[in-house]
Amino acid sequence: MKTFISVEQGNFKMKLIIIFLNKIEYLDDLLSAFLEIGVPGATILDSVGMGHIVSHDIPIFAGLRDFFSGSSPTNKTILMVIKKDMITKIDEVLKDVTGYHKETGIAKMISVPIDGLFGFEK
Amino acid sequence: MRISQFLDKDCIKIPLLKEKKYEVIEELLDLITDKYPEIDRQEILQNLIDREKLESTAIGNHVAIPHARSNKIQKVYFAFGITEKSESFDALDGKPVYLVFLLLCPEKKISTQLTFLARLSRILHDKKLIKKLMKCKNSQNVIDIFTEYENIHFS
Repeated sequence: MKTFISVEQGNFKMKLIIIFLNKIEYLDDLLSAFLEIGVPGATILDSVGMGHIVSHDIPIFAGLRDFFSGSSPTNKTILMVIKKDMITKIDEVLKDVTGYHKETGIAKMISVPIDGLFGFEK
Repeated sequence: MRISQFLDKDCIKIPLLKEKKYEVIEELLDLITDKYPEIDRQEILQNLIDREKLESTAIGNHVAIPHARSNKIQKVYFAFGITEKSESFDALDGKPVYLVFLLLCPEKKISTQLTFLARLSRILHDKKLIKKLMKCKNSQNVIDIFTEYENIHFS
């Protein structure tokens, strides 16, 4: 029988990783690489950058389309809950697969400390 | 950013004499270039026309905000005018345009242009404000209305 976590904890041992992947052609390789390093799962959302919506859907900002030309019509947002010590590995994978540290506009990653986990498998 | 700080009595005209979209734009541009003759009028006018052809800057509710960027200007220039009779400027809602704001920004000041357009278009969603502006008889009225509005809503 599976057991589930339902705790609030203040020591921030777990992190929420949010990756904004603009170059979605890297998604398959990225997810494969995450599985290889032991990431148990992730949630992937279809998303759109604000720049794209502003410049294409709000006519008064149409003149700024050139400025937002790097903003793709769709990108992916990847959400993962990981142990704190996996952050370095995640970053390395992201670098290896996408080269996001060498060029802007490929991906961005942020990490957020988690102070509560509910309904996760133990 | 406060729109009222960019309003200049010399660059406000009530009423505008022209009625057609590009003529109104030129009339407003002339207010700016008369005061700042160093501005390359032809280049700016072309940029304004190019922007207008991309998509109309008439945002509805009788308002248009023609705007352009240029690498030949170093600061923001702003003009305003009220038309008595006008065409729709190809507005989304098809209504005639009476309130016309002309904005010129330096080429590299994209964030300034974004902030300015965002603030101005948000303010101009207020139909009460639009009614007040449409009743303005002189440039000081316009400045007072914007100043009061921004004091209340963006203090």
